[in-house]
Amino acid sequence: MRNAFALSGVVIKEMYRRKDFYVLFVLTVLITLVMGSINIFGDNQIVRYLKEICLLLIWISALIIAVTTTARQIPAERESRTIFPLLAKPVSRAELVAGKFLGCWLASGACLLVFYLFFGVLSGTREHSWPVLNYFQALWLHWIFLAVVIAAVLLGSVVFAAPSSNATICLVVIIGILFLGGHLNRVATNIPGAPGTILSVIYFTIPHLEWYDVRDLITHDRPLINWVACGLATLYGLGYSTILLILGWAVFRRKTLTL
Amino acid sequence: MIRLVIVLLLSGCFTVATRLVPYFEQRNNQDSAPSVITALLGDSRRMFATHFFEKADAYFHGGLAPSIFDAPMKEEESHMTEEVHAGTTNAVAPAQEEEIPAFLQHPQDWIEKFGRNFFPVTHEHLSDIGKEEEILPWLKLATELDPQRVAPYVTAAYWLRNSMKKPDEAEAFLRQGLRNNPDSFEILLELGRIYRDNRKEPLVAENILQLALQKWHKRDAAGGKPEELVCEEILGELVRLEKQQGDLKQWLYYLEEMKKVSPSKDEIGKQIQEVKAKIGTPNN
Amino acid sequence: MKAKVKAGALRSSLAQTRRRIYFTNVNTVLEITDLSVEYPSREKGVGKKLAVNGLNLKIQAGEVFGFLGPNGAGKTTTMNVLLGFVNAKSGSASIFGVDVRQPIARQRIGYLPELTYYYKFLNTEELLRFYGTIFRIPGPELERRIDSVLKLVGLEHARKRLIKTYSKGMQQRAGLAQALINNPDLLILDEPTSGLDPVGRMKVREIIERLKGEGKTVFFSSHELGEVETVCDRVGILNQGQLKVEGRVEDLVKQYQCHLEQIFLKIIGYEAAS
Ligand SMILES: Nc1ncnc2c1ncn2[C@@H]1O[C@H](COP(=O)(O)OP(=O)(O)O)[C@@H](O)[C@H]1O
Ligand SMILES: [Mg+2]
Repeated sequence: MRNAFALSGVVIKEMYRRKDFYVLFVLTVLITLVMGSINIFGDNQIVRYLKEICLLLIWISALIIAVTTTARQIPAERESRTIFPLLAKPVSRAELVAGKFLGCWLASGACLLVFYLFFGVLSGTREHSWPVLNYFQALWLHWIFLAVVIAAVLLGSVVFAAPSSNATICLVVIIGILFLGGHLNRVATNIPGAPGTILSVIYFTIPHLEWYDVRDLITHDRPLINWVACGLATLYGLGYSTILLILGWAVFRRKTLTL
Repeated sequence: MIRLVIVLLLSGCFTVATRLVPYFEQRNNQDSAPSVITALLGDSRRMFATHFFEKADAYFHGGLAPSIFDAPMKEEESHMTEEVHAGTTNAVAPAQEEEIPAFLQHPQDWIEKFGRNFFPVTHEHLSDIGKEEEILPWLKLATELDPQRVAPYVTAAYWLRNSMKKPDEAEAFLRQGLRNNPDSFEILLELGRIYRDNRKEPLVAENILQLALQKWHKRDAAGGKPEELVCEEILGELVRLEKQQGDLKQWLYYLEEMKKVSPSKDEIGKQIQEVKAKIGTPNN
Repeated sequence: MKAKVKAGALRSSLAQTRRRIYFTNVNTVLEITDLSVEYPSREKGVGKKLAVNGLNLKIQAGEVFGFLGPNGAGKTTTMNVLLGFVNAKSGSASIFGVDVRQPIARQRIGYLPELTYYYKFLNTEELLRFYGTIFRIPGPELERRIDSVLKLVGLEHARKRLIKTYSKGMQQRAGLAQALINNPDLLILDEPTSGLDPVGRMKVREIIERLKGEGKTVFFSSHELGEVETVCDRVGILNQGQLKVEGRVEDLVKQYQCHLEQIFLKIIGYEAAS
């Protein structure tokens, strides 16, 4: 575990020394502020559309950061050969996978924190209300969502050879789940025979990432989510992440590392 | 060498661009003033406009929106715009709306059931909590993207003049809509209402409403199949105006016109009788 | 309950291994028995490529062993097995009496890969600190080690510079520094002098000799025989995955009645002719 933390430290350092996060953050802030400065019938109390745009940008940015950072971790170690001196130390491959996961997850958590802080300040100054607990729930569920995403991309990065194709495949799958995941059961009941059954199976096996997207509740000032539901969703997300990580480790464990 | 190639390429691109820009400008100038967004989106902007208009509807219901996989929304549930057309200023929700809306069917499995913790499932009306203004950005965006769409102008103006008490903004927006849709009787109807209710200028209102009626008939004559409901509304407003002003002849005339298009002919017939009776009495 | 007991047993056995690694002074530092390694062939049509073929090797504590052979002989592959990067087809290898497949076997070794490498976002100091944490070197001790290895390889002045800005020779020395951070008892160096200028080569040779003076075991591969002759106690010559000759340098010279270089060429040439 200590090795995993040491490894995660390197990932976090890399994250804050690269420019990706800053670029995306500045872009989010700029776009939101520009949208906020638009005059809508002379009313400056209007805030929900801003919240929606800001949250959308946060979701896109966080997804991009998490996927691209994670996708390059292990391939970059192999390509730049840093994996050789690293694994020549008393580090097991399981620790390597765990460390990469932890690093990416913690780093993207830190990014999320910055993003949501901006969001909170933005909406707070317009609405003059601070539903801190609601924002915490949104942030937390978003972070759990990223855990599953990162674990999946990490698995992809040991399965697929090229990091870019891995990132693309993962993005497509994740966005697909976000949009369709919750509706596959309805579609499946309308399709007879084997394809319907396959769809049902997919429906029950995919991680239901759409749960973690609670932007609508935040945008529309809806009441808090049931805390028990939050907890269960956390367990579900972390469970899926663990399964994906174990799969990733199983693939990576026996891999021959040469160039 | 490489620098030379780059310079040549750049100047080549530049020349092509200077030739193409006027061409495209010519092609596009049927749209009055293409903004950055419209230019970027090209023809897909109509699709986006529809999306944003629907978004306004979802906003009106506190984020509650059916996806394409849900059962279609019932008439009564999607009434943001119907209210406007019907002219009902009363947006009180029917009693059973506190419950889960009908488009969300009974959950099929635990995943669906549990998932409902994480998105809005209860009905809410922005008008009940005095936040109608939240839908306006999307309506404005919808008109930016598709200036020929009438409904967003009308809807926005309705909320602007009614609950937000901003008739000036409402009028400006409607006039903008009118510029893009000179033949829209829906916009004229809404404009007439502003002059009657907010500006208290019944004569102007009457002129506008008469124009609206003309446009309706024009479209009808051209085979455009305009909605009779709207015609009835226009006439209804005119009837009310004449009643206010006490012009019995005109009142009667509009009532009779209204009877032609209205489904509730008996009710109007009764009113006609009343007016006729009034005309008959000498002290008028 | 049962699981707890099991976990406890596992932990104590791990601790035992760790203690063994630290405290048992096994005389045979490195032992390779009947090692064969196969790669899927890069050419089409040819099935598999036997990169190492039945290799047997024993290295005693305090020895400097030169692992010689032409390019493609299988030197790197052998080292990759020792470090667990590649799985053997058959045979076994152990370091300090621990099977190389266990991560803990690498606690007391330092490794310098054949090619340069660096984390783009770290400077040397951070790199050494990171590796030191993995070796579980306590904080103050680690800082002292970092100072001393940087001094040894002569990189103190550049310790805060990103490694990617280093010259090739400096990168190689940074590599040596990371191999020495845990004060290893066995050093595995893969062609440590290849690609360096004479001064750089000289420096590396000096460092190896210094380590030898400290009683460390060094296992290094090379195909530059001049330097091998001066620093090595023993050499082994590998060709096409097989160990052809093995022994003390003086003994070999005596036996073949010629220079190491000539022996080397003879073996390679002989193989090529057959
Ligand atoms: N990843 C690999 N896949 C296939 N063949 C390989 C791979 N790595 C090395 N080889 C082959 O194995 C043989 C030994 O290589 P190597 O151990 O790198 O030689 P050396 O280090 O002695 O120059 C060579 O013939 C090489 O082509
Ligand atoms: Mg080699």
